[in-house]
Amino acid sequence: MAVKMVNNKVVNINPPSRLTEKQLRAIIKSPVNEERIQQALKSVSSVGVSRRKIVGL
Amino acid sequence: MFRGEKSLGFEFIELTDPPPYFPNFLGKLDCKNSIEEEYIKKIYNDFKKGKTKVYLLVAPTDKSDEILGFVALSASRLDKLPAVLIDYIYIRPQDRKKIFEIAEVGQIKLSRLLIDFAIKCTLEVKSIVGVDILILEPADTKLIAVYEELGFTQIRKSSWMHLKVGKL
Repeated sequence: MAVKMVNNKVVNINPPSRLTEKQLRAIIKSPVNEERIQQALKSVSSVGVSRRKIVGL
Repeated sequence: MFRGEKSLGFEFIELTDPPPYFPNFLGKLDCKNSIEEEYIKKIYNDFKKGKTKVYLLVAPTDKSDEILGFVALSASRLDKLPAVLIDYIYIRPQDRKKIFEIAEVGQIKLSRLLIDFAIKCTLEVKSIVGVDILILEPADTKLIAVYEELGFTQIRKSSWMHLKVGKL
């Protein structure tokens, strides 16, 4: 559930539960951008992911 | 970062169960306005209920951790298609348009780094669960171009966007 401002109130919103055949087909047929995925993996590995507790907050 | 502290680079850290981080966690985040503060409170409540996972982007210093931003992720569905959903992305106001230099990667904005992390998480989920897309809904239409640059495609006649990480 993403959050969104609706009528001056922040609420959870769900993605569309019904798409048209055309919308679904466009998603299914869209290509995977391998280069973008490789870039993402490279930058995250350079930054690093840790499960340690945060300190000093 | 406080004066005299030395930054040790960036790091992603999974936000663990509160307390002791609440309410300090929210108190440490600078918000541009009260709406943003409300968004973060909502995300934090969802996190406490186990509905979303929060990953902090921190700049550890030799004395403390400075939170630069976070991304909140959950499992979701787009019609028949299982998906990983970006619930919220936060970057502290002073770093929103800044470009950072990261070794081996080069110049990068924090928004890109948080999206990159979400892509990596989706690939990890994909390795054990049937899911091939990462989805989000931009808070406003001005952000559509920003997310397109980051690899997302707008779903026609919809305010939602997707990024494929595998073959559906």
